[in-house]
Amino acid sequence: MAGYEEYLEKLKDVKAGFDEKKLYSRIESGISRRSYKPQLAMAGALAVLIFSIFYYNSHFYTPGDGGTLADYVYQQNEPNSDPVMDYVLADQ
Amino acid sequence: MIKQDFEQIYMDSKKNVWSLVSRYVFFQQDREDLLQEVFINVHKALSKFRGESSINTWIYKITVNTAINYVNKQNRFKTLKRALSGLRIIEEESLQVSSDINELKPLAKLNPQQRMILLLSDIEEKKLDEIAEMMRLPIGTVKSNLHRAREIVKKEVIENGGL
Repeated sequence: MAGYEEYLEKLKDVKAGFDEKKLYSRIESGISRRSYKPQLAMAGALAVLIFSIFYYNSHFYTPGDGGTLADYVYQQNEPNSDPVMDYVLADQ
Repeated sequence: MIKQDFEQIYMDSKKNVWSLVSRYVFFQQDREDLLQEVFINVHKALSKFRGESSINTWIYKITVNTAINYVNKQNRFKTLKRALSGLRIIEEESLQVSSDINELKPLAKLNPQQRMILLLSDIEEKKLDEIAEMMRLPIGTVKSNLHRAREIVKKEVIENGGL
């Protein structure tokens, strides 16, 4: 037991130092980084949602008779035209 | 208000927290990372502190749980890091070895839970029921872990000629 008691005394004497100010500023920056995390995650999720809606609308949206939103808008403005044929004709 | 409270808590408890973490982990970088982690957790939980226990006990509780989680996480990553450095995908980190590594060597033979119980009991001089409360363990488990930890350390001390 004496060996163990002596060891404990040595262990109590272990005095590793640290830079209190440096660590406090590290803690502060860690806190502010973590407090922004949920906000950044929310902003990211919102951006993805908005992008998905636009992407879906412009590529897959089928207002009644098929076609994308761009086709739909085109047809609303040019009711008597066919967007595919107009494109083919314009290319000639 | 919380910022002022937190600053005060840091000023009052940094030495106690450091005393525990500097014996619990052995590399300076780990000690600093762990201290940072503890106080970030203190800050996060500060608004939920209801004053049911003393602020000191509450901070010890956070320190103990953060430290055990930290070491368990380190151990999980160590295996992966070794495998990756074996495949030369990453280089093995060279950590700054502390000058007191010899005194801490016997503690490295203990598992994270035993090491924490031994430090709290024999260095921080906490009572067994306090340790049980901090670590959310039955008092019998604390006693048996402490007994086992002391046996391991004694054996190590004898084998190393009293260090």
